[in-house]
Amino acid sequence: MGAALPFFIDDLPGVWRGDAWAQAPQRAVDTGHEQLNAQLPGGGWPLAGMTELLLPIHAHCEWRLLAPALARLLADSSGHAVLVAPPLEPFMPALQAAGVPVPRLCCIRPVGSGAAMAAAWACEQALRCRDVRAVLAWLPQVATQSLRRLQLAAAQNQQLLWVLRPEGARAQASPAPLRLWLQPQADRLLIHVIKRRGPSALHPVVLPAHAALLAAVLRGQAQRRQQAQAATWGRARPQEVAHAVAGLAAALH
Amino acid sequence: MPWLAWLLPCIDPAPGVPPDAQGWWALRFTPCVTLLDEALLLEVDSVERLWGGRAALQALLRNQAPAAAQENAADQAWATGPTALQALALLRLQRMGRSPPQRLPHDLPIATLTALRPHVAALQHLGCRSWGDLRALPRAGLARRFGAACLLALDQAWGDAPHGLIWITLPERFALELELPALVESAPALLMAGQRLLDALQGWLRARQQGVLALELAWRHDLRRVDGVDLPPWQSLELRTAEPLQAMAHLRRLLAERLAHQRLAAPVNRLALRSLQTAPLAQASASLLPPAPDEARGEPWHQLIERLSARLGLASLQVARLHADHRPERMQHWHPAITPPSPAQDEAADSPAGLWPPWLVRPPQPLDLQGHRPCLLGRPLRLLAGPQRVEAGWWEGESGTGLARRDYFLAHNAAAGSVWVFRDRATGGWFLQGVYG
Repeated sequence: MGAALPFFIDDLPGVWRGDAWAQAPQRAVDTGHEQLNAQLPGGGWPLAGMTELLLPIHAHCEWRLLAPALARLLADSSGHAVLVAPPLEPFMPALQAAGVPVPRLCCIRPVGSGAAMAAAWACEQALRCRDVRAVLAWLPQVATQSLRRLQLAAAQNQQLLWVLRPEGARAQASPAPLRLWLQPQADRLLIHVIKRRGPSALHPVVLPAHAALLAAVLRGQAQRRQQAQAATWGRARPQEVAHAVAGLAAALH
Repeated sequence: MPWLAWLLPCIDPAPGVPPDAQGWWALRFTPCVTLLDEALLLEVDSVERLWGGRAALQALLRNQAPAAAQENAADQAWATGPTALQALALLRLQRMGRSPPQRLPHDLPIATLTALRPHVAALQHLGCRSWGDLRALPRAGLARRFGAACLLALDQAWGDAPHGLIWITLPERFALELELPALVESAPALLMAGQRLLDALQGWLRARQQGVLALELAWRHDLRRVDGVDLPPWQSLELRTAEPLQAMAHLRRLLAERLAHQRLAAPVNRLALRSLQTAPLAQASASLLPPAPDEARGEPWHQLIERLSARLGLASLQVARLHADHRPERMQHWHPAITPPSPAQDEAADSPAGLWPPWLVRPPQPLDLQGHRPCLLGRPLRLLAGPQRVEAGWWEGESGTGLARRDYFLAHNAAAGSVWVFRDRATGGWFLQGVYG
């Protein structure tokens, strides 16, 4: 099959073979997670286009996924990152510990009626600014039309845009070239690649639910608890034996 | 022919406007600009080489003249002459619809020289119709009969006598008022009238090579009282920008956003624009080559912030500053993004920051109890790590709300995921303060 294709097809800009989608000529930012890089075209978050992340309602696990890329992006260049309508207050000391330069993060929280429209508008304006490196937008009630505008703005301005939406939007069509569905479990985070420029992914990417430092603390705590329980058992056993002996003696009498 | 004459669009400027303001725009091209009767005169001999020749300069002037916005650039009246008075005379001939004479300046009609106008009838009777005829008369008799001023003007027109003109200079501060042609009742409509003032401001800034940092737009109410309430005669709004600006596009957008939120107390009949603060503008392009297309793309950061703040409100755009404290709710302070705190004041966070959650719940949310166990979203929480004890704020006094004696735990349940909770040791209540996700 490959031999039947015209030879010049490999030289056309923007055209690549389907089986080589991972090496597609696309500018991308390293996600900081090896397993995820392997599943994304270009080997990272696409720099020119919208990435849609779908989350369950009470799962606020986006920083686990995005903080390494954001830290890397802002460390390499002197721009700003914009957070549009975050659902909670970002805790900056923790983000700084993850390597994100805090003074260059700007939060935009539109209030009042029409806040959803204002958020989409602010998002588009930020994409057109030349000093913005990344936009994170939480747009739970965005119209498909606005999404299309955002995708166009991100593609034209070569900007990195993450849009976070509830997982209920999974069944709807979306103009985003990359869509991920995050599914947090007890100690791991499953990432289903729903849509990408390439064949559909068969298996979800599995990431540990916590960063390395926190995971080590949790493991240590769990171990200590087990040891403590084992020690309690060990101390209890002679007493139980003594009780049993006493009971036996009483029965004999 | 080093002089250009340009017919002013309106001879009587609105009251309050200095007459010189009509010539500010031309100061960008040559420092020698003056007003003479109904025309603006530009001396271009010394500068035309810098603008690429006279033809290029004239084309530029035609495009940049303020009348160009209103009428066709080709309709503007321009004339060139070797002296100021000759250029003016040629402009007047052009206005009368007559073609320039063959011999300059001999065949120019008497009436085109201002100093000779009172004597036109008398000179006609003498048989003098052109400047050349008059100059052929004996000078002593001419001076005795018509005054020395006529002779002087004639000499100046020929270029034989020096012509002391007073060049237009710019005022130190920009302040212009405009009488509106009709009463304006809505704030956005003021923008149309404000456009003319902004154009004048741009001319002033370009000539002074400055950029504006702050300006004030004021309007005068037509009514003294509305519904029994006394009105102030003037109302104003102030615009500020972080970096000096000369291009008016950003200011116009800011003004539009601000005016869209403004309510006029009464119809407005007068508009004024004042510059409050200006700064010298560093010319951006030091390169020989034109800027690359991707370099000039988009607006800079501070303009974005100012525009979004103008539309969404100052409190909607925030940046955080870290603060050394043990209480999580005081570890960060939010500031309006338009006046960011200096980054040097940031204080480093503690080392256990890597264990903290990326989301903060403010204020801490009280948790329900099932027996002795806290629960969230209807399910009990399992404590995975902790306690981490925090005792802070005792220095704020017994009654201070800042007192915190807490034990922090990392807890988990299937519905909420991992969360950061604390037990208040004073009351024994449980609170949710952070979310890991």
